Amino acid sequence: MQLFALIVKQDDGVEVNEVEYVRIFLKQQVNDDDVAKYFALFSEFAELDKISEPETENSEDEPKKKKKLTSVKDSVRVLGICKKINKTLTQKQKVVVLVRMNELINAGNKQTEQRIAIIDTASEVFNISKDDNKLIERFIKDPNPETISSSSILVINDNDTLCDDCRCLKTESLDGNILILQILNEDLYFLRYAGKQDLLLNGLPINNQRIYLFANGSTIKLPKGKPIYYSDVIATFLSDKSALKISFSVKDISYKFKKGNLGLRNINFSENQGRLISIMGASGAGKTTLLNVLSGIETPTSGDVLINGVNLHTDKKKIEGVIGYIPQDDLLIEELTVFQNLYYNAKLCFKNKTESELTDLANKTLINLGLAEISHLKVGSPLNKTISGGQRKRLNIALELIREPAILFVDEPTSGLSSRDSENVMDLLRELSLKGKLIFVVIHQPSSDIYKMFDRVIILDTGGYMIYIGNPVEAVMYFKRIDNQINSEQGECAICGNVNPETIFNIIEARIVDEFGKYTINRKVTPKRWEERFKENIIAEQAKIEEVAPPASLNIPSKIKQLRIYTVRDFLSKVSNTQYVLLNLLEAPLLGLILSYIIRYIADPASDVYIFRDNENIPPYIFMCIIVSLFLGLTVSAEEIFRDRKILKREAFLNLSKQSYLISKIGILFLLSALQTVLFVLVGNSILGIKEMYFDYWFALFTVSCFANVLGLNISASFNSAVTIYILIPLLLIPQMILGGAMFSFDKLNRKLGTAGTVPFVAEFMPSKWVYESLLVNQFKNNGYEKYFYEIEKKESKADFYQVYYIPELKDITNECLRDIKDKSDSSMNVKHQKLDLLRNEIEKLEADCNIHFGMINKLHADSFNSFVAFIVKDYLDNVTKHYRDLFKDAYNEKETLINYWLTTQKDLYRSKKDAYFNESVADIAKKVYEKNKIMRYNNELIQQIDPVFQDPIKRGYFNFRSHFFAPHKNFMDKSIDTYWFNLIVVWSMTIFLYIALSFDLLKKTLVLSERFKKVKNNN
Amino acid sequence: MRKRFFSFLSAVIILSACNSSNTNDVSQDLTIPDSVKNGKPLQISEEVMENMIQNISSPVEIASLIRSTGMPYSQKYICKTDDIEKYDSNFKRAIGLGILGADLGYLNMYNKTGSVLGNLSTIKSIADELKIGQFFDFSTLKRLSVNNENLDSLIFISTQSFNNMDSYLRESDRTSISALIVTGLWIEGLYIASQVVKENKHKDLAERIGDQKIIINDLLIILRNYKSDPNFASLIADIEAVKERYADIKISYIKGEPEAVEKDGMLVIVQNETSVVEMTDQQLADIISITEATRSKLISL
Repeated sequence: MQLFALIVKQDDGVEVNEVEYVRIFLKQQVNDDDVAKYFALFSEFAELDKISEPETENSEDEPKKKKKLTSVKDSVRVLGICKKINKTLTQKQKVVVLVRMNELINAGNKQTEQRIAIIDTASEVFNISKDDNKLIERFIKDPNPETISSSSILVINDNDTLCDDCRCLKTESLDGNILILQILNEDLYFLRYAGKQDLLLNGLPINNQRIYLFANGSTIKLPKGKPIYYSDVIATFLSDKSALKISFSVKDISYKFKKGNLGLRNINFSENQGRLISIMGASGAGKTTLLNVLSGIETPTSGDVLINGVNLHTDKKKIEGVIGYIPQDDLLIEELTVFQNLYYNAKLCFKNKTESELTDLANKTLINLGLAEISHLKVGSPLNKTISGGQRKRLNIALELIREPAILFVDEPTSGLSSRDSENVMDLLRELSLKGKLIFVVIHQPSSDIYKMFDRVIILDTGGYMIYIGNPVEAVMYFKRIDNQINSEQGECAICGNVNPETIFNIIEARIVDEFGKYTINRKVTPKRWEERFKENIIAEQAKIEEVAPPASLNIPSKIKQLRIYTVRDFLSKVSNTQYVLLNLLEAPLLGLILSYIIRYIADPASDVYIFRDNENIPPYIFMCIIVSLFLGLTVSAEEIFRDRKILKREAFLNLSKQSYLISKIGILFLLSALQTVLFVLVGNSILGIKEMYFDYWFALFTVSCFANVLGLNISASFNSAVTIYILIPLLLIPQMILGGAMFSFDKLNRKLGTAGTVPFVAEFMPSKWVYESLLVNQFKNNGYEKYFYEIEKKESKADFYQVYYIPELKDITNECLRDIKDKSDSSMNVKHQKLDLLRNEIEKLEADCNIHFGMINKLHADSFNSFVAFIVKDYLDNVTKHYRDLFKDAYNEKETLINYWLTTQKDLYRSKKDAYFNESVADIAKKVYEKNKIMRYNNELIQQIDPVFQDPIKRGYFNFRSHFFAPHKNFMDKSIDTYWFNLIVVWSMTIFLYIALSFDLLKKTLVLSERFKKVKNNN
Repeated sequence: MRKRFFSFLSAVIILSACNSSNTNDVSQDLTIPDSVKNGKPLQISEEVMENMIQNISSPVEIASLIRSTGMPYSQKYICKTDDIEKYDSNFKRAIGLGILGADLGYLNMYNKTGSVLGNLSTIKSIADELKIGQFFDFSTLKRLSVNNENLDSLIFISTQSFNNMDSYLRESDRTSISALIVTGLWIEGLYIASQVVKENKHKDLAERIGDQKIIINDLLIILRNYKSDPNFASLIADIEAVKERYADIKISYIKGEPEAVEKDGMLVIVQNETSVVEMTDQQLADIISITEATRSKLISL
């Protein structure tokens, strides 16, 4: 105001039309009461009533007479005021002020030097560039603005001959020209009309004397022809600047939900770059579904989405990196800071940028979004907030913004935000669209300002009907018109310029009133009818189809680099959560402490000395270690991928390597598991006095923990809620306990599971069984005491078994056969055959084992077996017995000699060694001393039931590695591999298998399949 | 919190370090010179034991005699099983097995089922260690421990079991084990009897102790077969010491009239012979004390 007055006051004061201008201006800007007030103020400054008294804080107004002097003083005051303005107004507003000043001068047609000088001063103080200033001046003053050829001016008229080098937008039947000036730096547009028609700007008439601010979402209504939209204007300005060329066309898209109901019906439209499009509709109308289909997350049941001619759903490879998606929920890594979130995201997108470039980029983006002050804060969970909801949302957008995808889908960016935050967020999107991006936004109840920002609005109605597409303000009018409302031509409030999008939905969803005046549940107009009307009334404009390859904004790093980034990111996010780190690292040693302390049992009631040998709890301890490792492994991993699911959803658009992601996850989990098991073993084993086997225990537990990690990742990738995942944990672990071999003997399981001579088939799938076997066998076989005796005892055990149980059993069978031979009944024939088969089979094995030839193997058949053969067999068996007896004697004596020697020479060492390394309970289990049946007939085999740890497994086939439980080594591919290593290799193979399952999402696919199968079944 | 964690960690490490330092001596390797390793096993001149077991009074017999004295059962006489389970060598184990066998007889006579159980499980595990577990399978042991009504059958079963085992051991050149089991049986029987006599000087029982003079000689004949083994040498020395105390005891036999006795439905002529043992109280006390000493030496670790 004051500025106006000062300008006007120069050079012989105020002219009438100037005063008039000011009055009109005020009328437009403020309400009637204030007009008077401000006008009075203006008058005072302009000294209209020639009173030279000083006024308010602006003090001494110079007398009119001293013109020359005043001009100097005035300019000083101009400076002062401008500076004051600088503090309060944004740059945009300042430009507006400048334009208004120019306009004022122009109205008076008194363009004196002084006035111009003041404007120049003002523009300088406002930091508006000279070029812009000149441009504004010319735009306003030039009576024939058409002649101004500048790239900043757009001419709208109905002939196309006029302009060669300037921009122009062709329209139908327009008298004169509409000029639009772009102030590039501030992204402002001003409008001036030189013609005689009655144009309406946002429903208000345009005075051809005036300059109008052409604000967001404005529309110029022509008496005839199509209205001119803000977006059209902007697009023209941007047309040559943006290299982006996008066409996005949607053809007849329908989408059926899994349950069979339609989510979308025949959606058709096409758009070009630089549009900000909103998708609106009542809840359940299919907005998010549409967004998902358009962004390629869901595949439509029929129809295509073409981006520059490339089918989004079938040619995914070709449009990698074109699309960005900002889901409704926050996809932030809660443990990382705002900056880290953005930085690692950027790192994953751009491989060529250096660290400092990336840091700069992230910082710049944060500054742009007003997040710079909180960049070092942790994001935190929605419950444990450190940054506000609006900031989260903005950060969310920033994550996509940083890579600037050509097409961006945003799901409810404003939900839960204050109106201020909402507007900030929308401004961001608007700016992006002005840069030439195509942006789709699902939005709920937008405020008027936000609503007007959109270039297009797509309105969906319940059941997935598309009932409108077009300009948002037009939309209001369209529905009002159809509803036969008065003032249907008025899209926005004439006074305040507000648009109320709610009116649209009030109209769409209007309900029929019953005779009591109550609303019924029936709608006046069904969605189907709306769609028909839409097709009748509105012809959606067809966008130009671009043929160039869609612009990808991705430059993703190599897989190894991704792996590193993922790992660092994950690591940082984990480390930043002190509770998580501490708990995970303390849990294991604490459990180890509790477990080992409780079971540190001293057998001798009279003694206080702990003797490892007598501790009967060692085998259960070994098993508990395995269960603890499984538990720890599962719990750390079970939620991993599930927690990242949302982030993965967004990063899916980056086409990052899944392998890198998984390996980074696994790497970190394995590291954690390694640490946990190290601590556990250190504490547990040292308290229980298990000596020298730290590595053996650690590696075995680490192995099983890793298995559990990958298993956990599998379930966390496949199930859809944390609760199901945790419900699943017992389901996975309890079979491991049951079939681990420690709690229930494999010999005493349900017959349907058990097979004599080998571990039950189901148990072969239990890593707990493999690791338990490996640890127990290793503990027995390789401890510091048994290692001196194992080989000798093995020989001794075998020879003893053969001579004491095996050969006598064969003799028994021979006798039985001999007895049976007299019985000619059919029922006994089978038994006889079976016995003879067994005899033959076992004697063949014997021959191979002891190298004593039995000549009459062919006679061991039902028809040729007689008492003579039986005699020969027994004779042979006696011979073999002698062989084994000799073997036994050798081994027995060797062992006796050793023990006697040590007892005479190193008695104390020998005894303390046995106490410290040898555990009786472990030996009892490994030797199965409590087994009642030492030998068992099974089909045509004799099965050894005792001393499994000394018994070599029977070779069953080249690849068949199955064996009895606690076998000392395993046969695989004609090689004999130590049980400890072989079993761990088996568990690692399982882990690798699970990893493959994980990378192909096998479990999830199976779940989906089974669900589908169930559905088909139900339908039938 | 973090500090606490680290102190905990270091405590763990120190703990484990301490442990390993304590075990330094244990982690030493046991060494064995090749000469011993490859040396031939001790060659034992084999001499058949010739129904030795019949001469040594069965543990069941002694036990039944003790019971007939009316002395109450005493847990004190029974050898504690804990130590026996920890024996290092088969030499010791075999003696232990004999001792436990004698205890089993005593327990059995007094129907001490509860204690029998512990005794049996130790017998089982020792027999397994000696690789003669097959003779102590559950059914045999059950027969031995349940059958206290019919004394003859019990004696028969135990004698038969022992003979089976002995012949098996002989087949595998391990007669020394039989000899040791018999020694164990004998010393424990003598010990229990002498302990009972110590409390209540029962005439029959004391005479029975004196009778053992004959048996010691038989026992020593068997044991001397193995004297080249140092373990046996020291055992022989111990038994010799017992024998010395018996040196002055005189045993004379008085033949009685032959008598016809009906046994298992048949008439059998039995030559009744009674032995008379001349033994002073001092001699008996000496024998009791040497028995105690020898037995405690044998059962010690």
